[in-house]
Amino acid sequence: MQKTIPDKIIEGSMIAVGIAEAAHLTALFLKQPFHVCATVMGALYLCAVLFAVLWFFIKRKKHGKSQRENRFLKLMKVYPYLYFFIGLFIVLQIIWYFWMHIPYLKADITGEIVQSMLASDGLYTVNPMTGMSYKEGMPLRLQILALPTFFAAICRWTGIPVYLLVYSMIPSVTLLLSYFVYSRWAAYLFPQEGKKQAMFMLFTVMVYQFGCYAVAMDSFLLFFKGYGGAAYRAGVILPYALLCCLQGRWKSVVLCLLAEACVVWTLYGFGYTVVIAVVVLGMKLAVSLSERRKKA
Amino acid sequence: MIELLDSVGKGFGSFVKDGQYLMLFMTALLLLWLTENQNKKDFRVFSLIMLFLLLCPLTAKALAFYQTGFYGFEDMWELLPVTAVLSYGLVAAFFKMQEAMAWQYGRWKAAASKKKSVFREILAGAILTALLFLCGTLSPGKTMTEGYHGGSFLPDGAGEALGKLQIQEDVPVFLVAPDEIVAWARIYSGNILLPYGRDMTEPELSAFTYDIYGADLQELHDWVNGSLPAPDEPGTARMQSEILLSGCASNGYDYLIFSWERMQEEALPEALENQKEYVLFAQTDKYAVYKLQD
Repeated sequence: MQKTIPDKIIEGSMIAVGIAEAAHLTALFLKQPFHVCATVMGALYLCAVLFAVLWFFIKRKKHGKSQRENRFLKLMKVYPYLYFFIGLFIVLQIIWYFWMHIPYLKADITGEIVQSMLASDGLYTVNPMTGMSYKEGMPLRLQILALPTFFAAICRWTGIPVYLLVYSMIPSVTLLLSYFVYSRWAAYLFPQEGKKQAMFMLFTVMVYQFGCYAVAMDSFLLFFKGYGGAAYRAGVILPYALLCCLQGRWKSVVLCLLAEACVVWTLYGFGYTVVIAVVVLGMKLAVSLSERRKKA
Repeated sequence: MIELLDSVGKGFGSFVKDGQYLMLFMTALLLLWLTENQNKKDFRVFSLIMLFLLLCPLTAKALAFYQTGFYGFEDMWELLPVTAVLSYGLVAAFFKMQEAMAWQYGRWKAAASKKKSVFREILAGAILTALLFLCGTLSPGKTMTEGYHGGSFLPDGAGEALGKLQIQEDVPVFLVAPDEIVAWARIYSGNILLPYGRDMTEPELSAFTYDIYGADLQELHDWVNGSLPAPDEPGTARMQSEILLSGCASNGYDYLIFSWERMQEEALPEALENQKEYVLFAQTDKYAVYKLQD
């Protein structure tokens, strides 16, 4: 199955997380300062981007320019009023991130960790909650997570204030990635039915908007803790993993599994992507056995 | 095991307490089973299996055990494709409503005009939007993030107080402050050092470090927040404050922040007047900021 631009963006974000994790773990276990980690991470990203651009041009030279029409633009022209409402909700949600909310800090210290890395130029060399050196240390299962290092690196490269990046920009990106995932769901559930795809996206935006009433809801995580690995898992990884399982795209499922390990898996259990994959594989096995019995 | 079941129960409660999306999800799933025939059957089967796994106490306990029971069960609801099923069900309902309304109309006239078709779409859309709204909320997590009134990411009082501190780049400053300011200090600036962090009052954060706080820091925390038990002797509270102020100065704590409510208590202002290490540096509507003299 040919990957669309949203697929490439979603999987690109997971690869970006993987690159951040690789740089982070290397610096962590080699006890390198943060600025070295950020430099290595930047170099890896540059290589990845150059590789992607080169790959694009090689493929284009081999297969010629893609004649596939941009279906999204076509649907926007045919159903402008639906996409207007979708866009309006998304814009209001992003405005909310930047000007209208306080992040929900309970059980999370991402902001503190990022500030600590930038101030101390170290990876977990100081207690993020006090800024002072550890006496006993921090559990390794939490040190291995890459997102705070990734955010700190972006702040270092761009000069963006920590609170702006962590509490506004990253949640906006996570939300948009989530909508990309559901756009693939729309195409899967309603192939060749443009109006239903547009309606699906509109209802998705509204489900998010009206559904963040409790901590257990996906949209609560996205709107209030969008900087966290749990939000990325709930809004991007898990729905994309389920879609890929149903479509039989198992390489993408493995990518989801690895991305989850980088952002939220902390050695307790094996993550939620595994549960989804096991259930879907179980279903497929049951169907396969049932069909064999019928043939026999 | 009882703790696991308790966690499962609390996790279920948190999912259904203030909204009805779980009921809406089950209704959408039923509608899809009745109307969609063979289309995307595997997705519907998965949703049903996952719903069963999460609701049935035995399998829910097994899932909680799978993640070793370390985390709350509410996270496991992420496994249920609520958003996809709800949106799918709403689309199916929308078009079924269109068909039903057109059939009703078609009974009396031969063909519906485009205007009436648009009217039906708007009506169906409005009904389903109202349904979503009534089962959820328009005010996301209102009670969980109260106290916000401005354009900054910080609650008003904390932002104002932290803004008064003189923080130079690469020069750390030590701060002792009430809990509501300590919660944001390290996020505001990595150059603010604290003798105790948010984990002093948020038990969940104790998972982030093996360090524990001694009794002296607990006493300091209680003193700043005004939760030290009132001593029997009248002069003891003032002496206690004087000792702690002297201790702060010896430890090199650059700034002390007290709320105005805290400053109303007799012993503290007296103790501050009787010492020379800290001077009143700045004031906000809610807080007084004292700075250690060089």
